[in-house]
Amino acid sequence: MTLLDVSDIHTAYGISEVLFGVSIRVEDGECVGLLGRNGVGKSTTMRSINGLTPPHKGSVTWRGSEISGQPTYDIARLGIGFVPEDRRVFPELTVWENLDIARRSRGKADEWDEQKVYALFPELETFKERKGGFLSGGQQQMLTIARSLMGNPDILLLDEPSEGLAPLVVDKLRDQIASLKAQGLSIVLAEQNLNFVLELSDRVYVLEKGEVKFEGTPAQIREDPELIKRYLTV
Amino acid sequence: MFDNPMLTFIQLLNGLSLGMSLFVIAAGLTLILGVLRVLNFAHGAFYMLGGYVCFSLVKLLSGVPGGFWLAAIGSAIALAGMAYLIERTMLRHLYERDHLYQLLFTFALVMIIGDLVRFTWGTQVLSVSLPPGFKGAVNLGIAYYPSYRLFLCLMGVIVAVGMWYFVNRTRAGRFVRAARQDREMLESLGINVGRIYMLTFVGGSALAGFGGALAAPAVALSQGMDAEIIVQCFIIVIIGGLGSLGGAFLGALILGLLNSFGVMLVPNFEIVLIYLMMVVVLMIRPWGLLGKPEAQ
Repeated sequence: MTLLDVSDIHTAYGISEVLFGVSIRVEDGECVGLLGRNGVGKSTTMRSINGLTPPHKGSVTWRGSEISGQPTYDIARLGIGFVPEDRRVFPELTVWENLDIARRSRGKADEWDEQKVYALFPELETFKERKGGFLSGGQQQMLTIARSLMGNPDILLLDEPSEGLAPLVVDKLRDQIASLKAQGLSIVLAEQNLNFVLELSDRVYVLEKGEVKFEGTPAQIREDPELIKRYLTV
Repeated sequence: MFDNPMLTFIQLLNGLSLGMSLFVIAAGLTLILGVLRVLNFAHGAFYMLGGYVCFSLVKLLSGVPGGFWLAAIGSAIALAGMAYLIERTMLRHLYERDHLYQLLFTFALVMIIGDLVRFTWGTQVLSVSLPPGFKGAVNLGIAYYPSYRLFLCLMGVIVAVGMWYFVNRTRAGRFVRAARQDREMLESLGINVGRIYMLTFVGGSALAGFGGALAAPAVALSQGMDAEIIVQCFIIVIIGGLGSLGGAFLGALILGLLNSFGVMLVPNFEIVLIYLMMVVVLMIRPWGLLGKPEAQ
């Protein structure tokens, strides 16, 4: 079943147009990668989905109903979790407080709570009394993901989760995201780190200048050095 | 000077009671500033309106036991209601605009409320009598002191503790702190931040109304009392740090004590002292004593 269907969206910041008819689709339980260089519209696509920067044209449907134009908090309550780039933890709130404000039951059988997110990210339990601003980059990234999980989403929009993290931390994060996927969570993963995306994703979209230039499987991308060179290498 | 312990003691209490009554008002101002990022010029006018509403409610409730206290609560509720209407119909459309629009808007409110008070209550000075049980003075060992002023000290502490508990120890308070730090992110977690803004504005304004009502028996109600209080509250908030509740508490204490001891020690320069204090703080810690530098 199609969970999320983004169809031909055009999005602008003020008068500067960023997306020119992007269409992506996520099936239930799927991990979809968004690839592309800096500034091609990956983040804007995510902000268009969750309503922070709503598209002025095109449609976003969630389980078949139109959500574009709804306020962000209503979209989040439908089960769309957003983990933005730059790890926006609340710096003055402790780890536990960061988790607590995101707590939201959605009536599922097996819901997230502190104990479950601590089990996935053990470091967070160690530092649960520490303020978010005093965590390392990797810990902050884990906290932003854990925080979204507390709202029991059906899909996670992950924007550049590996950015600025040490290679060992990136490996750990990849395993943790893989385990979320194995539990049935759908994921949209925007990344510049090619291997990170290719290892986790079922399907991949390549963006360039606000348009989708390629749609396919990770294997197709691996076998196409020309495509990688054209759209993905810096 | 300090060789008269009784006088010193009384001035200390004067400073504390002034500081604590100012804190109740400055707390609302700093809360709104911290969360909504709106500098509410009309906060002093809300305070004034609270005093006048209390005056009318006291008259209305004369003969009812506990009339003054009901009137004080009534003033807080009336100001909360007014703030709700202002926020929903007008102010919320200005959050995303330049600060200048917000200043102009709240300044317009000052004008409107000033005229409203003049039309409704006239220009003569009005006074509210002290509530029963607080008309006398209390023997504190070395001096007698008006019991209502002691009550104002206590009320300031109760409001301070209550607000500290609310902001730091309750889930609603965590939302308020999070809204202060990152509105978009909080929204993305499914929280209606617009509602938090509205409730903060309503709560802060209710405090202004409550503060005005409590001040009514201690000061004369007159046109212009709003301007005086808003200047003092701005100084408190600047000294303490924008948006910091602890800072507002500290700033209110400093202003109160500086005022009362200034009168005693350098009577001719007392009025300048608080401004000097503000200048010194701005030179040494421009973000205020308990504030934090804006991260850019």
